[in-house]
Amino acid sequence: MNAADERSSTHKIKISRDLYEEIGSQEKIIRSIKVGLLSLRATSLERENADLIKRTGDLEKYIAELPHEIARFQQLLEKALKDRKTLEKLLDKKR
Amino acid sequence: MRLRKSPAKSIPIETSREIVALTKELGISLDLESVRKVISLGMESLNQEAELECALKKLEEEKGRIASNFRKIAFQYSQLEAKCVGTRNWFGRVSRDNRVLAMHLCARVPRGKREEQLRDDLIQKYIMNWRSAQNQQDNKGDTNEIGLE
Repeated sequence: MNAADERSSTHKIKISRDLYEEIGSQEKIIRSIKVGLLSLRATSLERENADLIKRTGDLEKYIAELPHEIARFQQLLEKALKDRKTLEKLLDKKR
Repeated sequence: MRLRKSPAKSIPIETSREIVALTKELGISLDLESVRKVISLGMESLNQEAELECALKKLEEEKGRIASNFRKIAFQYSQLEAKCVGTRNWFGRVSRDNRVLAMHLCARVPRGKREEQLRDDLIQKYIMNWRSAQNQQDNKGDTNEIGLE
Protein backbone atom coordinates (compact mmCIF):
# COMPACT_ATOMS: atom_id res chain seq x y z
CA MET A 1 0.00 0.00 0.00
CA ASN A 2 1.50 3.36 -1.01
CA ALA A 3 1.20 6.63 0.87
CA ALA A 4 -1.76 7.85 -1.18
CA ASP A 5 -3.66 4.63 -0.59
CA GLU A 6 -2.80 4.82 3.11
CA ARG A 7 -4.26 8.33 3.33
CA SER A 8 -7.40 7.47 1.42
CA SER A 9 -8.10 4.25 3.32
CA THR A 10 -10.48 4.56 6.22
CA HIS A 11 -9.51 2.81 9.42
CA LYS A 12 -12.57 1.55 11.19
CA ILE A 13 -13.09 -0.49 14.28
CA LYS A 14 -16.06 -2.59 15.08
CA ILE A 15 -17.69 -2.48 18.48
CA SER A 16 -20.69 -4.36 19.75
CA ARG A 17 -23.83 -2.29 19.70
CA ASP A 18 -24.50 -3.08 23.37
CA LEU A 19 -21.15 -1.73 24.45
CA TYR A 20 -21.56 1.30 22.22
CA GLU A 21 -24.91 2.10 23.83
CA GLU A 22 -23.52 1.47 27.31
CA ILE A 23 -20.66 3.94 26.82
CA GLY A 24 -22.83 6.42 25.02
CA SER A 25 -20.56 8.41 22.74
CA GLN A 26 -18.05 7.80 20.02
CA GLU A 27 -15.64 10.24 21.66
CA LYS A 28 -15.72 8.33 24.94
CA ILE A 29 -15.13 5.05 23.09
CA ILE A 30 -12.14 6.41 21.23
CA ARG A 31 -10.72 7.90 24.45
CA SER A 32 -11.17 4.56 26.27
CA ILE A 33 -9.53 2.67 23.42
CA LYS A 34 -6.63 5.10 23.41
CA VAL A 35 -6.15 4.89 27.19
CA GLY A 36 -6.42 1.09 27.02
CA LEU A 37 -3.83 0.89 24.27
CA LEU A 38 -1.51 3.30 26.07
CA SER A 39 -1.81 1.15 29.23
CA LEU A 40 -0.99 -1.95 27.21
CA ARG A 41 2.03 -0.24 25.63
CA ALA A 42 3.25 0.92 29.05
CA THR A 43 2.97 -2.62 30.42
CA SER A 44 4.75 -4.02 27.39
CA LEU A 45 7.56 -1.44 27.72
CA GLU A 46 7.93 -2.18 31.44
CA ARG A 47 8.33 -5.88 30.58
CA GLU A 48 10.84 -5.16 27.80
CA ASN A 49 12.89 -2.99 30.18
CA ALA A 50 12.79 -5.59 32.94
CA ASP A 51 13.88 -8.25 30.44
CA LEU A 52 16.78 -6.11 29.20
CA ILE A 53 17.87 -5.40 32.79
CA LYS A 54 17.82 -9.13 33.53
CA ARG A 55 19.82 -9.96 30.40
CA THR A 56 22.35 -7.24 31.24
CA GLY A 57 22.70 -8.69 34.75
CA ASP A 58 23.25 -12.19 33.32
CA LEU A 59 25.96 -10.89 30.98
CA GLU A 60 27.65 -9.05 33.84
CA LYS A 61 27.75 -12.32 35.79
CA TYR A 62 29.39 -14.12 32.83
CA ILE A 63 31.80 -11.21 32.37
CA ALA A 64 32.87 -11.55 36.01
CA GLU A 65 33.58 -15.28 35.49
CA LEU A 66 35.40 -15.07 32.15
CA PRO A 67 38.71 -13.49 33.33
CA HIS A 68 39.19 -16.47 35.70
CA GLU A 69 38.52 -18.89 32.86
CA ILE A 70 40.93 -17.02 30.58
CA ALA A 71 43.62 -17.01 33.29
CA ARG A 72 43.10 -20.76 33.82
CA PHE A 73 43.53 -21.55 30.11
CA GLN A 74 46.52 -19.21 29.85
CA GLN A 75 48.18 -21.07 32.71
CA LEU A 76 47.46 -24.42 31.07
CA LEU A 77 48.72 -23.10 27.74
CA GLU A 78 51.98 -21.88 29.28
CA LYS A 79 52.56 -25.32 30.81
CA ALA A 80 51.72 -27.05 27.50
CA LEU A 81 54.14 -24.78 25.59
CA LYS A 82 56.86 -25.57 28.12
CA ASP A 83 56.14 -29.28 27.71
CA ARG A 84 56.36 -28.94 23.94
CA LYS A 85 59.85 -27.46 24.24
CA THR A 86 60.90 -30.32 26.52
CA LEU A 87 59.39 -32.91 24.17
CA GLU A 88 61.12 -31.39 21.14
CA LYS A 89 64.38 -31.26 23.05
CA LEU A 90 64.09 -34.92 24.07
CA LEU A 91 63.29 -36.00 20.51
CA ASP A 92 66.06 -33.87 18.94
CA LYS A 93 68.66 -35.30 21.28
CA LYS A 94 67.92 -38.75 20.01
CA ARG A 95 68.25 -37.90 16.30
CA MET B 1 -41.43 -4.74 8.79
CA ARG B 2 -39.07 -4.08 11.73
CA LEU B 3 -35.35 -4.03 10.95
CA ARG B 4 -33.09 -6.10 13.23
CA LYS B 5 -30.31 -4.24 14.99
CA SER B 6 -26.87 -5.03 13.61
CA PRO B 7 -24.77 -6.77 16.33
CA ALA B 8 -21.82 -4.47 15.68
CA LYS B 9 -21.22 -0.83 14.99
CA SER B 10 -18.32 0.61 13.01
CA ILE B 11 -16.46 3.64 14.25
CA PRO B 12 -14.05 5.47 11.97
CA ILE B 13 -10.72 6.05 13.71
CA GLU B 14 -8.78 7.68 10.90
CA THR B 15 -8.81 10.86 12.96
CA SER B 16 -6.85 9.12 15.69
CA ARG B 17 -3.61 8.13 14.02
CA GLU B 18 -2.23 7.27 17.44
CA ILE B 19 -4.69 4.39 17.82
CA VAL B 20 -3.66 2.97 14.46
CA ALA B 21 0.04 3.41 15.31
CA LEU B 22 -0.38 1.84 18.75
CA THR B 23 -2.24 -1.20 17.44
CA LYS B 24 0.52 -1.72 14.86
CA GLU B 25 3.22 -1.30 17.51
CA LEU B 26 1.51 -3.73 19.89
CA GLY B 27 0.79 -6.13 17.06
CA ILE B 28 -2.87 -6.47 17.95
CA SER B 29 -5.87 -6.52 15.69
CA LEU B 30 -8.91 -4.58 16.68
CA ASP B 31 -11.55 -7.27 16.33
CA LEU B 32 -14.75 -7.19 18.37
CA GLU B 33 -13.31 -9.12 21.31
CA SER B 34 -10.02 -7.19 21.44
CA VAL B 35 -11.84 -3.87 21.26
CA ARG B 36 -14.06 -4.91 24.15
CA LYS B 37 -11.00 -5.83 26.24
CA VAL B 38 -9.11 -2.65 25.32
CA ILE B 39 -12.12 -0.47 26.13
CA SER B 40 -12.60 -2.20 29.47
CA LEU B 41 -8.89 -1.72 30.22
CA GLY B 42 -9.20 1.95 29.26
CA MET B 43 -12.23 2.46 31.44
CA GLU B 44 -10.61 0.71 34.41
CA SER B 45 -7.38 2.66 34.06
CA LEU B 46 -6.81 5.09 36.89
CA ASN B 47 -4.52 7.18 34.71
CA GLN B 48 -5.48 9.89 32.30
CA GLU B 49 -4.35 9.94 28.70
CA ALA B 50 -1.81 12.73 29.35
CA GLU B 51 -0.34 10.89 32.36
CA LEU B 52 0.03 7.72 30.35
CA GLU B 53 1.67 9.55 27.46
CA CYS B 54 4.13 11.11 29.89
CA ALA B 55 4.85 7.72 31.52
CA LEU B 56 5.35 6.15 28.08
CA LYS B 57 7.83 8.87 27.13
CA LYS B 58 9.80 8.18 30.31
CA LEU B 59 9.69 4.43 29.71
CA GLU B 60 10.92 4.89 26.12
CA GLU B 61 13.81 7.03 27.39
CA GLU B 62 14.60 4.45 30.06
CA LYS B 63 14.54 1.71 27.42
CA GLY B 64 17.00 3.68 25.33
CA ARG B 65 19.41 3.97 28.27
CA ILE B 66 19.03 0.30 29.25
CA ALA B 67 19.47 -0.87 25.65
CA SER B 68 22.59 1.25 25.20
CA ASN B 69 24.08 -0.18 28.41
CA PHE B 70 23.13 -3.70 27.28
CA ARG B 71 24.91 -3.19 23.93
CA LYS B 72 28.07 -2.01 25.75
CA ILE B 73 28.03 -4.99 28.11
CA ALA B 74 27.28 -7.42 25.26
CA PHE B 75 30.25 -6.07 23.28
CA GLN B 76 32.51 -6.44 26.32
CA TYR B 77 31.24 -9.99 26.82
CA SER B 78 31.81 -10.97 23.18
CA GLN B 79 35.40 -9.65 23.33
CA LEU B 80 36.14 -11.63 26.50
CA GLU B 81 34.41 -14.74 25.21
CA ALA B 82 36.44 -14.61 21.99
CA LYS B 83 39.63 -14.31 24.03
CA CYS B 84 38.60 -17.24 26.22
CA VAL B 85 37.69 -19.46 23.25
CA GLY B 86 40.90 -18.48 21.45
CA THR B 87 43.08 -19.36 24.43
CA ARG B 88 41.21 -22.62 25.02
CA ASN B 89 41.59 -23.66 21.37
CA TRP B 90 45.28 -22.73 21.33
CA PHE B 91 45.81 -24.83 24.45
CA GLY B 92 43.91 -27.69 22.79
CA ARG B 93 46.11 -27.53 19.67
CA VAL B 94 49.36 -27.46 21.67
CA SER B 95 48.14 -30.37 23.82
CA ARG B 96 47.34 -32.46 20.74
CA ASP B 97 50.77 -31.66 19.25
CA ASN B 98 52.36 -32.66 22.54
CA ARG B 99 50.45 -35.93 22.50
CA VAL B 100 51.84 -36.73 19.04
CA LEU B 101 55.36 -35.83 20.21
CA ALA B 102 54.89 -37.97 23.33
CA MET B 103 53.90 -40.93 21.12
CA HIS B 104 57.12 -40.50 19.14
CA LEU B 105 58.96 -40.38 22.44
CA CYS B 106 57.53 -43.77 23.45
CA ALA B 107 59.62 -45.41 20.73
CA ARG B 108 62.86 -43.87 22.00
CA VAL B 109 65.14 -45.20 24.68
CA PRO B 110 66.06 -42.61 27.29
CA ARG B 111 69.65 -41.71 28.09
CA GLY B 112 70.13 -41.24 31.76
CA LYS B 113 67.88 -41.06 34.80
CA ARG B 114 66.80 -37.45 34.29
CA GLU B 115 65.70 -38.03 30.70
CA GLU B 116 63.89 -41.18 31.75
CA GLN B 117 62.01 -39.27 34.45
CA LEU B 118 61.04 -36.48 32.02
CA ARG B 119 60.01 -39.00 29.38
CA ASP B 120 57.84 -40.96 31.84
CA ASP B 121 56.19 -37.80 33.17
CA LEU B 122 55.34 -36.56 29.69
CA ILE B 123 54.05 -39.93 28.51
CA GLN B 124 51.97 -40.15 31.67
CA LYS B 125 50.58 -36.66 31.13
CA TYR B 126 49.95 -36.72 27.37
CA ILE B 127 49.05 -40.37 26.78
CA MET B 128 47.87 -42.05 29.97
CA ASN B 129 46.08 -39.09 31.59
CA TRP B 130 44.73 -37.97 28.22
CA ARG B 131 43.09 -41.35 27.72
CA SER B 132 41.45 -41.32 31.16
CA ALA B 133 40.33 -37.70 30.68
CA GLN B 134 38.91 -38.65 27.29
CA ASN B 135 37.06 -41.61 28.82
CA GLN B 136 35.59 -39.36 31.51
CA GLN B 137 34.41 -36.93 28.85
CA ASP B 138 32.91 -39.79 26.81
CA ASN B 139 31.03 -41.02 29.88
CA LYS B 140 29.65 -37.55 30.46
CA GLY B 141 28.58 -37.42 26.84
CA ASP B 142 30.37 -34.10 26.47
CA THR B 143 31.53 -33.42 22.95
CA ASN B 144 33.63 -30.36 23.82
CA GLU B 145 37.30 -30.52 23.12
CA ILE B 146 39.27 -31.27 26.21
CA GLY B 147 42.85 -30.88 27.02
CA LEU B 148 45.11 -32.01 29.75
CA GLU B 149 44.96 -30.28 33.03
